[in-house]
Amino acid sequence: MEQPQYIVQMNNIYKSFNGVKALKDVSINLQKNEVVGIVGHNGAGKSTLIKILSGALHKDTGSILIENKLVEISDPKDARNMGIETIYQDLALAGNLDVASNFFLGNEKTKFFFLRNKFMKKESKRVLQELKIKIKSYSVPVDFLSGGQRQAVAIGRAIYNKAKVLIMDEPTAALGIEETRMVGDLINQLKKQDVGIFLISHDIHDVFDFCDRIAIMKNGELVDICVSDEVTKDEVVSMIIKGTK
Amino acid sequence: MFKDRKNFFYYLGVLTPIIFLILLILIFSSLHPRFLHPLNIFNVMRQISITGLIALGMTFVIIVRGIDLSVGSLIALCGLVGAVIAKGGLVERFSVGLDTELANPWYWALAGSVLIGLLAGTLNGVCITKLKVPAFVVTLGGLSAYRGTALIVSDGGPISGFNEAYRWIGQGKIGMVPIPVIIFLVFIVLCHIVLKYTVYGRHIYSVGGNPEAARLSGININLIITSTYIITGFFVGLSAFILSARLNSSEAVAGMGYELNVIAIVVVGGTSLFGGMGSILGTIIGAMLFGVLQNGLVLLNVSSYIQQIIIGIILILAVTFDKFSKSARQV
Amino acid sequence: MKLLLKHVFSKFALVMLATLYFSGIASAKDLVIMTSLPSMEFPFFVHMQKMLDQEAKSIGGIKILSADGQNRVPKQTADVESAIIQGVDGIIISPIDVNAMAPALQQAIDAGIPVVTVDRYVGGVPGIYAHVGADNVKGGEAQARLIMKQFPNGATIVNLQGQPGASPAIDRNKGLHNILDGKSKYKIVAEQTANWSRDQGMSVTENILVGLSSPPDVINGANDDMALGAMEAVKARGLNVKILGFDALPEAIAAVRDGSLMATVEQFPGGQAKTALNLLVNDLRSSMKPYNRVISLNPITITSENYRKNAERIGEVK
Repeated sequence: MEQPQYIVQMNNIYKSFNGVKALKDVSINLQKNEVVGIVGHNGAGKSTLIKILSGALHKDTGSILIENKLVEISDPKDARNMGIETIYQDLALAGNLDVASNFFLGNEKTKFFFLRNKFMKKESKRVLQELKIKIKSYSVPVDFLSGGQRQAVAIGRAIYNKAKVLIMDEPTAALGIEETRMVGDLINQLKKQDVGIFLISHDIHDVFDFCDRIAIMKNGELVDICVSDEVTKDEVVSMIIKGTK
Repeated sequence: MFKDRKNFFYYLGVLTPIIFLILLILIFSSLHPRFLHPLNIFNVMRQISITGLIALGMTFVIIVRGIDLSVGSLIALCGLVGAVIAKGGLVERFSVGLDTELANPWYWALAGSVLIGLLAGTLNGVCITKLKVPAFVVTLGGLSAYRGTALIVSDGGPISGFNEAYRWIGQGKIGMVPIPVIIFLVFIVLCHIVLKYTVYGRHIYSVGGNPEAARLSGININLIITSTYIITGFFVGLSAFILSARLNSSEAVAGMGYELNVIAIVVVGGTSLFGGMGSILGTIIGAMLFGVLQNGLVLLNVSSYIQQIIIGIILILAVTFDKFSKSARQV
Repeated sequence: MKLLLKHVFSKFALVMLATLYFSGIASAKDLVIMTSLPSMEFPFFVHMQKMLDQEAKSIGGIKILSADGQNRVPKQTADVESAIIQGVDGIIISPIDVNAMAPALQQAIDAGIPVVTVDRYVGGVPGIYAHVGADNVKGGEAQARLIMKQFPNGATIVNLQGQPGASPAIDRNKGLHNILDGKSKYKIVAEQTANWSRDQGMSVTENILVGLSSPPDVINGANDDMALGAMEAVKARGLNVKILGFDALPEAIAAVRDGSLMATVEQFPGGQAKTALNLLVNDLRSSMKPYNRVISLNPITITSENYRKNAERIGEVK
């Protein structure tokens, strides 16, 4: 039997804030071409777990392996250098800048100190078009775009930065039906490009639509990880509420 | 041109100051025959160049969601330090008229003035970013402390009487164009290029638009924020020197209330106090708007009480339209 | 005068006797006097404070607690309140605001502390021990009279006013108008505030000069700073305009000497301060009441003819 290719392995992670245990012995992993959903109530530990992976928080104990190599992630920059990109609900983009500026934020292309605005615009257009994303206008601030388009810009940027692991925090929370479908399409495309995705969501339907496996958390502990085709929505909801299998 | 209503208000916000300016120019030139006289145009230009230079720096500060209330007091301090250097101490400080011997040439005074500005700007920036004290509080402290230091330096009195080379910076002309105006124009171009066409400028906007996003993109936001206060300090030092050359005097009461004039210029020019939006060109329009307004009202000999009311109304109107464009973005 | 001397002498003798009699008790202890001036940002008050300190030293046995009002009524009020708590022997104050400082000063008087106001007065407090000041209206009138003397055939005048609402600005402006209004030969062609500042004195003058079809004969400043700013503007245009200031700061005295300013107005801030201190000390040491509770020094114009003799701060002019 072929050994699964884990791109991320988080083993026995513990984390507490001022004595309050936020994570207790959580182990989770992620393969290439896989989407793993993380579900649970507020305070279940989803965000804490994901922030540790993205470098925004530090674990107390436990180990993290990226492509089978033991790593220490000390800040978001570290995570990014390892190919871990996070798409936050609101924090991803500077709303006052246009698509290209956001696309290349912190990674601007220059020539003699001057920004190569035309080149950056062309590149961002190319990447987004490859992802079959339609953007209303490339020259207005992204605040003028719809929530789905902004989400797409953030995802496109992660792809352009050669992300191997994508962490998506509530990507569909503020979106309508049509746009949610668009993000779903995008997730499917990314899977095909060897990207592994962690998806945090409140929406049980989204999770079942997009994810291969579902991790259920409660009170800082991992309740279970199930393959989504093998469980029903009711079973998952019951686990979220009861905290037992 | 306007794809929808949102965009209409967006452009209205951008264009408002220009429309106001053109309107004012039309009104004043029809009411006073000498308003468009070249002498008057250069008068206005020269008068706005001192606050205008500081407003260039303040534009950077406000775009990154900051504020600098210390500029008015810092003008006094920088100008006095420059004067003390030029005079080689406090001797002869009361001489006006013919006795204008200097111990050190004007460029040492300029260097001293700018150096103090840079130091004060660094101090402001570091306190804001490292000590995490709000900019409003830090620079309010500066407003008081720098004025106090200026009073100590000057011992309460003015230092005046500079030689011709020194005064030339503030009073001289090349052709018809006053030197302060030339200096102002050079820095307008420079600041515009930096803000619009360089990575640094792009990072300024991103920090103002969404500091968290900028940080997550690997931008050192503390460094960016600090740098804007240093830039403002530089411009304060420069314009303090120009002011003292223009008035042939430096004194501790110089620049009183400038901070509010400068902030008003920047905000009327379309730079948002909420950060992330603004431009050098807008600031220039803002500076010209106030310059023209003050000049025109004096030319028409409008009573000073009414002048204050008119200036207040224009400020509120301009910012109201600006808010329209901002609220268009909130959707 | 003779009477006064006699009066002083008799009191003095009495005090001397008393002092000898109660030797150990009455001497030794210093008088503590609190002084509070509106703002140390203005050279006028800096000078006044210096004069107070100097006079206190020359009288001897006086401890001055000086407070800077920082141009804020709450600050000055708090200063007075803390002086009351410290139990000072007397207060010399130049109130920032004619009305707003009344409650605090009333409080001091109620606590039995004598209060002398200098330069600026306070309204509605009958218990004020004395006021020493120069009348700003008279100062403005003195400027106007000098203009009429220099231009007997009439003149066009630009009037640079002080900060709108400030009492010296109102009074000085009033004085100028008292004399010039109704005299058709003297025409005020422009009247604008320059907020006491040299910077605005210069730019407002520049604007006015451009607006006028022919330059004025006179620019009258409500203080020296504005006049000195106007002077730079006039110099830059190469015009011949007579300029008047107000306050007789050393820099203005030097400009009068050099002929750049036609005149400034002397209000004797040092003289005011010294008089106020002496009144207070005499009362505290010998309960000697002044004949007149309002001592008004007459402001005079300082010109190139009399600056040497009459300018109080001539010693500071290099």
